Amino acid sequence: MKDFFNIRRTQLEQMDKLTRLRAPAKKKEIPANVFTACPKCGKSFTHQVWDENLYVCPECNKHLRLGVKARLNLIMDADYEFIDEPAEFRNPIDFPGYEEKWYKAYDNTDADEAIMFVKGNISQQSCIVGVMDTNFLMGSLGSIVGERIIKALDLATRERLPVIIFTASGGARMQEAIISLMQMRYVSDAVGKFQRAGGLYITVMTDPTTGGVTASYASLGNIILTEPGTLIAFAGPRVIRDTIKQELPEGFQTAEHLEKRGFIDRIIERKDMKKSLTELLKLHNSKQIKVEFSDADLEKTMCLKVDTKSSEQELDGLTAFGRVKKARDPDRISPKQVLEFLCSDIFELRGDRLYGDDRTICGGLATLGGLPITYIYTQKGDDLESRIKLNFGMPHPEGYRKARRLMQEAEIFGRPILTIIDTPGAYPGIGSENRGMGEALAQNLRFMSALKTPTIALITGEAGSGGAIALACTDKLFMLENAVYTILSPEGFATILWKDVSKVEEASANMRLTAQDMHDLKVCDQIFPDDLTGLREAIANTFNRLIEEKAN
Amino acid sequence: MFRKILIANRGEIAVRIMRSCREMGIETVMVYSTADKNALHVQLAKEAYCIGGPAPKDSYLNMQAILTVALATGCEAIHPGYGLLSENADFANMVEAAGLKFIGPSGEMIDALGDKANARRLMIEAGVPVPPGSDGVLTDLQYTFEIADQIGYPVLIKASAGGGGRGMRRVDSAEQMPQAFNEATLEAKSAFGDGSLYLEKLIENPKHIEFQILADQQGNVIHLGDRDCSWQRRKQKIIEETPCARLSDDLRIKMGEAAIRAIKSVDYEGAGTVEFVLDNQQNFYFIEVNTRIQVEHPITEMVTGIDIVREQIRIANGAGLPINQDEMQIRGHAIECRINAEKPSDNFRPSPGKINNYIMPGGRSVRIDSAIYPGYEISPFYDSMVAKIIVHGNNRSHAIRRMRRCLEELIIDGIETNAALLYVSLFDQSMIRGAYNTSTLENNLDELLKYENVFHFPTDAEINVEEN
Repeated sequence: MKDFFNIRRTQLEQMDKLTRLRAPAKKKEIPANVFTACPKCGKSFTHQVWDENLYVCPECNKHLRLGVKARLNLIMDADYEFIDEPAEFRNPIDFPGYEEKWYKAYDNTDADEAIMFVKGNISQQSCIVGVMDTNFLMGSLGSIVGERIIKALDLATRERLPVIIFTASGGARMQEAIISLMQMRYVSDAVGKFQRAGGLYITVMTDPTTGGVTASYASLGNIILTEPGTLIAFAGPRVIRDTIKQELPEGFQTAEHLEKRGFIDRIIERKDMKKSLTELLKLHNSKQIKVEFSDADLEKTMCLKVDTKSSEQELDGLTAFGRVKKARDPDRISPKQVLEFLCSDIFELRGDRLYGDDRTICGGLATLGGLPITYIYTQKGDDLESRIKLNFGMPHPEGYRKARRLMQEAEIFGRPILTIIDTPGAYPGIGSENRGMGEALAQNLRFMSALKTPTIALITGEAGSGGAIALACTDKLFMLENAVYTILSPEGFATILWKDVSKVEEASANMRLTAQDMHDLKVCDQIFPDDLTGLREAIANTFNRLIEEKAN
Repeated sequence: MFRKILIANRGEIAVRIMRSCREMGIETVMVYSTADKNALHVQLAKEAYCIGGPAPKDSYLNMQAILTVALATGCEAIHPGYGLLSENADFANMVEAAGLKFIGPSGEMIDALGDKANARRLMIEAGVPVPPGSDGVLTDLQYTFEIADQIGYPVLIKASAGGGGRGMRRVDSAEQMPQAFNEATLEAKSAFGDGSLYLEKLIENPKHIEFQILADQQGNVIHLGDRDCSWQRRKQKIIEETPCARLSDDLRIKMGEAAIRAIKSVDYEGAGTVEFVLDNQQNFYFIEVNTRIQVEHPITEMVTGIDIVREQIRIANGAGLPINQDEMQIRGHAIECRINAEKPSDNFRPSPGKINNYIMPGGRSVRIDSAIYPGYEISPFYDSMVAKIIVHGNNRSHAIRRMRRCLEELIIDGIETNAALLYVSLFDQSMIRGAYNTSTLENNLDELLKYENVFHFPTDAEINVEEN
């Protein structure tokens, strides 16, 4: 077909040249401060839009890098004060051209070095906050940066304030060479001292956090948060490409990837960052020393699928294997539901900081009747897809290691620990054996047994073998009336003992596995009906008593 | 009101009349020639009847066939459109005799005004200025010489029954007279069946100004303003506009009153147009009355808001005028461009053929009256107009700019058209100033054709030549 429009357009252009009375319009450049394109998706938005979206791309959710002041204004209440000594240029190894570069950065950014610290409040909670600026020599770790971190941690130790650092860095500062490398050990040492003194140290990795910063204070947070899409790496893509000629897969070294690999507690959208930090500070800053349910807590009810018929009429006559089946019922109340019934302000933390994040064991911070606690629970999933994903409730070693890491934190901050258990057992498989399942369980048993902080475990369904006891070495063990606690599954028991899996009912009866059996055997301290009657009060009283006992 | 009307015409005007009828709830019957089987007016019709061969005399001028169809289909009136039978007194009489209503003035009236010499006499009686010339028809050559000498050359000799430039000759000196007289007589005879001529002083380079008239059966007459139709080539109007850019308010009132006097001098009914020439001294002279709807009527509709075809039908049915003269208001400015299937750069050679595709302009205050569609074959048997583009603007310059914009959008592929010439005409200084007369286009044609070439939409053949 004839290209009508193009023919006509060409003609019109020629015609316009002949007929135009006025000079042709001059090409104009888009003024630099009107539109800014997203570096990821290329869509342009006005500054007002960027501003309203906190410099997060409305199209692709790319979190743009922020300068110091912009970052602080998003996080801090008004009236924060900068606490650093004014930066004065130094050139520790007399590196040529460094001075010129440093002053250029000094003059062209709103920072006077690659990190700046302020003292102020986040939602009325006092803290010290450090923000790195990639516009300043790529946020590199120079000696002034190191000194500032050490001094800020020092001040925080003296004033008993939490420290939050927003990291953003290309890594060590090349112009300071070995002096920069030394900063890595100095600041890591300072972080360690601060943490051992009981300080809360939160890092928020922002785009990009790489090199020597990742390999020191950025990765040492009691809690490590990050923003979506953040590049986090030790050796960045270019370094890897140049050194070992390997191309990285798509999405490698992003916040999302690292969260899966267990190195990040949570990815937080920029708009939610202040809220999240507020919650975390509150959970670490509570003045409360015992569990006290408010009226609001007590009003919190939940829709439990309680089978009243069985609980009232058939229970007494239920066989042991009948209870096993009830314990395994997919419709049974899940540990997560029990947690939500008991606790508020739930803030999940992820990852074992070693290998991965096992979603079969979840953990984090919450308040129980106003008292901050650390919770751990297992989950089996509520539909086929999630059950497959969650390995039918059988955790991997990294789940246990995550639990231990969170309990370690609880011990440091003196938080009681509540574990809620419903698992057939630890996952038997090549991967989990390779990653040392036995070692992971053993470590947990030793570690939990020695905890000074009060601990309670609650078994809601099945508690199978080592995988259960590795979360249940607690001061007190509670069970729901139709929960079971076993050395191994009745089926396995029958196989080992009689080489006949069909004898599972007989095995169940002989193993002694019901809640009542456990109580009789003094394994379990208290039994609660499946509808949780009395559970909340009992947990509150028990924790309060344990807190009191341990205080004396 | 009539329940059913036969439309004795073809092409865009047949479609245009049908549209008003449809809006008025009046059924229509179309007639067509064998060459027009696929024409739009037939395709859109609920009822259409073939009345003869391609030549107009065999079909659209075949009075008996048309009347037979009208009677057989139960029509109560016949709308003749323009051209063809529209100013044929015999036909008007025949329709009335058959008991149907001819939408237009009576045959007697058509005759009285159609006979130009007679009309000239009537106007003189009514006090309407006419160009100096013969009192009646030219009885012989001798008498013609006398009159011409008396008023001075150049003069025009015109067919008494004529119109549209046929049977008309310009005579610059006595030597040219005999040949011109003979040619005009023959031409008039063949075109109108009546060879009688009359003579007028030639008003050189005048503006062609016409007034649209509506007259009801009760004897009320109003005019709907003027139209400047001076952008012509060989007496054929190409661009029309209303109101004329060069009429003072006083002159417009004077001419309007003269137009109404002209119409009132006879017992007129329906729509009509009183044509004047305006010389460069601002003297105006009566030329003729067109006793029918005209091609360029839409521009008047644009500025007055009155549907002239609708009023024709209402008046024929006995209704009074929709407004009186005081209520008549001209709003803004309107222009019409006639798109013809012809090639201006090749001496306006007609260019019938198949419309492969077209893109019509659109947008605010744009009206297209056309009867083409993609795949339609333009017949060589009928006139070459394929579309009328009519635009309205708040003022004249606004309307000109809108018309240029429309012609920029317009693409007709398959046939040659004069669209590019129209487009470049709208940049002509005399057009922009409104100071053009009936000779301007022809005088400027060479210059305009140079630019026309730039905007001329190439045919397939031309594109192939370029590619090879």
